Amino acid sequence: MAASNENLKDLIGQEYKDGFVTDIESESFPPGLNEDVIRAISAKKDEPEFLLEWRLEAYRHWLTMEHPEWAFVEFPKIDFQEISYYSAPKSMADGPKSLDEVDPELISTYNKLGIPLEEQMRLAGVAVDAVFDSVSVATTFKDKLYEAGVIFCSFSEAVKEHPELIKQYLGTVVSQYDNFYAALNAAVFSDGSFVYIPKGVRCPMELSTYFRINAANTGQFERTLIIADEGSHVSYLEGCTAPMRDENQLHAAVVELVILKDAEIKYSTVQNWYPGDENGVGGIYNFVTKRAECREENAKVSWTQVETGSAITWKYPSVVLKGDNSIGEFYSVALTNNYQQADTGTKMIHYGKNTSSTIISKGISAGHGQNTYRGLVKIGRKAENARNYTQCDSLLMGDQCGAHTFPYIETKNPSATIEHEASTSKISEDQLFYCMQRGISAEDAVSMIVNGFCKEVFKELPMEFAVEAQALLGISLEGSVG
Amino acid sequence: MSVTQLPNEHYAALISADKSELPGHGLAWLNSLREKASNEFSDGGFPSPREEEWRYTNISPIEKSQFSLATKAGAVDADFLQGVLLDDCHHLVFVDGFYQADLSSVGELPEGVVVSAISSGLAEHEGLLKSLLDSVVATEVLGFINFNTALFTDGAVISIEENTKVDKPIQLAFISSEGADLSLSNCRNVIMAKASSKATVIETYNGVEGSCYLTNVVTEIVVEPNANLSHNRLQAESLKAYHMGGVYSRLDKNAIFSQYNYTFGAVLSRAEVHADLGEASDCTMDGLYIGMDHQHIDSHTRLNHEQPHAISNEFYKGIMGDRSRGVFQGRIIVAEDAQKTDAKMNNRNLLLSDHAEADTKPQLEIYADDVKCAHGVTVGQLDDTAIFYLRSRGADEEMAKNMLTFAFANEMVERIELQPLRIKVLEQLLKRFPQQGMKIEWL
Repeated sequence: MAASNENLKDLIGQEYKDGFVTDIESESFPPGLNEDVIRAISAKKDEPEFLLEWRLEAYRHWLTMEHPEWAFVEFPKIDFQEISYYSAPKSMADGPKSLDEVDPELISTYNKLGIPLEEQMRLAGVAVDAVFDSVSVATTFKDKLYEAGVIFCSFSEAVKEHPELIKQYLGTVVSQYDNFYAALNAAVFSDGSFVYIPKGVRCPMELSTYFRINAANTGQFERTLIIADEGSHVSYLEGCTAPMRDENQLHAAVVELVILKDAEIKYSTVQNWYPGDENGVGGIYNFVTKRAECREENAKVSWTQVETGSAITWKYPSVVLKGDNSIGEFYSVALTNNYQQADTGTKMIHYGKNTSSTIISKGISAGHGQNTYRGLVKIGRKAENARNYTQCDSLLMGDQCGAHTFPYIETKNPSATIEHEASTSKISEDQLFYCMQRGISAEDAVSMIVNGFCKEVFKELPMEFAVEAQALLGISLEGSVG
Repeated sequence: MSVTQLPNEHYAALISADKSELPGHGLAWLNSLREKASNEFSDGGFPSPREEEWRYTNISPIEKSQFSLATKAGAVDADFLQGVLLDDCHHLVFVDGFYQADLSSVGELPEGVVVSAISSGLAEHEGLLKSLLDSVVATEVLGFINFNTALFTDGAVISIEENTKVDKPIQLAFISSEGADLSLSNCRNVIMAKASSKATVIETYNGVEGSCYLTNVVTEIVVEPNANLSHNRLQAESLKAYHMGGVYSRLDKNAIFSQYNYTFGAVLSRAEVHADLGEASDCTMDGLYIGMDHQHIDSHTRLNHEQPHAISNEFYKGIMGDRSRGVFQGRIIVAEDAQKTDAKMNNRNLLLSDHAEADTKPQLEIYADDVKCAHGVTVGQLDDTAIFYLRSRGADEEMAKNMLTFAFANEMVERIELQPLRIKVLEQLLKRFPQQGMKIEWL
């Protein structure tokens, strides 16, 4: 075992592979936050009056809020006046008409990440609305989507082209007063993605956005809004990488999903932002508010997330099950290594009759990582025959890490059936021994066992993502045997 | 993490009032302990629901009711007392927070065993009290504990001598008398089970039905190496009363500690059961809580695994009827050094009415890797097919439901080894879910 532990240490020590900085002249605001900054952001994006008002309301409310302290994460106090709230690649100002006009440096950044846009355009199947820092620079496959009637564009574009939809749905799931970081996001969000699937349409391809954080000291405040109208279906992929950097970067995004009658949204995330180095220096703070609302009958939403990056991950993709017979699902793999901290989980809030929810959470802790599952299952007074099944398993690798489980279960209806199970264990020596005596090396055996541990979640991911996720786990984890 | 708020004026006045009537006045160490607790209470007050540990329990009715400290014990009806006392035990009886020697019967004890009230035995057992008092309690939210430390009027001092077994259980009966309306009783118990000793302690809480009072009690327990202590708690206060109870224990190496917690009474109650586990110690925490009417019952447990090889087993069952609300918050903490820990926690809830509520929060906090920890929670209702089966056999609906509910609770009752205690628990159960033709004597 000693020899294999050595290997494991090497593997744990692997450097973040996607760490590089693209040098593009960013047009950034100086650090600081006040009403003028918000007006400037709004003006820069040429926003209608109602949106500016909405931002200001959020900001004024944010000023009255206290920073939440209940999470199981530790980090130095954030000085919100030291963050720059707007940064756009400068070449954007001229507005590229096609991919050829896009800054070649950007293209090469994507190439380094292994997501060449040209190739993806040819490969089809996946349309990419790539968000580089704060402004969308390239959108593909728009025409094909347009034919189907699907609107898939950057948030700022949607504000211009479809203000009525924005006005109708913005902030109806996560209000601008919702919580500290959601309010901050509402005040200063720079861009994001907007998706509208009209009635009865099954989106012809999987939609995907790659987020990147690039310019130093720029908080990334994205806002995503997806609306699935009656009887529609969409699968949305979100994947992230970020360059290596020593200062902590704040990422406070908001994702709102609205699901109407008989519609379904499948939202998958692979998050691999810079986690900080082996001493816990640097890394992204990922404080995201994600919420879906099954507004009408038979709506379904499924969150799948693989969280391997970020110094701190603090998010709870939630589902409000308002419509009768609606379904919420949450599948999560969260991995913490080195000094990473994760406090993540979900909230399933049942209001409608015959609503059901499933939560499968797999937490893996290695190194000095602290991994917390925190989840709420709430059954309202009128949620007849609500059903919830929760399973949260933790895997510990090494004796310096921690795995915590904080479920909250609140039931106000006797017809509800709720099951919650949690277990904590380490990779057993028996399993490892069995694999090794069959000629499998220690790190392969660990990778195999961990992938098996996460299989229930991976099988929910779209194919390409599943492959990426397995590879990610391989890199981040291989060999952390306790 | 903790949110502080200023104590309510009424209780702030109580805490800063003259303490010369309280037992042990004149002992410098006790005075300074009380002083410290008073000051901390003045800064923090009672916990608010904004605090994470109190998010499901709002104690503002206690603040509003403005209970005042009972100054002397009221009269207790002989029949009532008879109903409270368990057969074949060493009895210490406290009424409204004061030890009643004439109602108590300690009887014969093995040599070296101390079973005494603080008020009457302070001179003799000062050293013991000093070594135990405030030595085990430790939690982030100290409001009720500080209030207790500052103002406790009496309580029990128990010490079991090394290598000694006390055969008969020791019952501490806490009674609120009829005249105790709007009064509050503050008792403090300390229990020491010395190395390789064995004993059983039963705390019972009763009050005259219909009266509204507050019981705020803290029990501190030390279980020394190889000792075996069983601690039982039967809370059957008046349904208008308030009950805040705490059991804080420390287990040394190879100690065995079993804590059984049965909650039936009080409109608002909370039982805190904490245990710090030493090396290879074994801790059991079982509980049954049944809420009817508007009762709010909170069971809050914490298992601190600080040393390796310890085992803990926790099993709580709750039944919520009418408009009651049951809260279970269990927390298992496994420290870095506590390798080979084996911890299990289970909470099962049965909801009987559309207006009842169950909130449960089983938490695992694990810092060691070679451990086995699991928890499970269920919330559900009676099985329709089971009810149908019973009805097809001629039981009416109410009877069928009562039978099934009784069976759900009976799993916990059957775990009680002490016959007299089991009967008391069954009495409470049958009062709520009568079983046709069933007599206690048969069980």
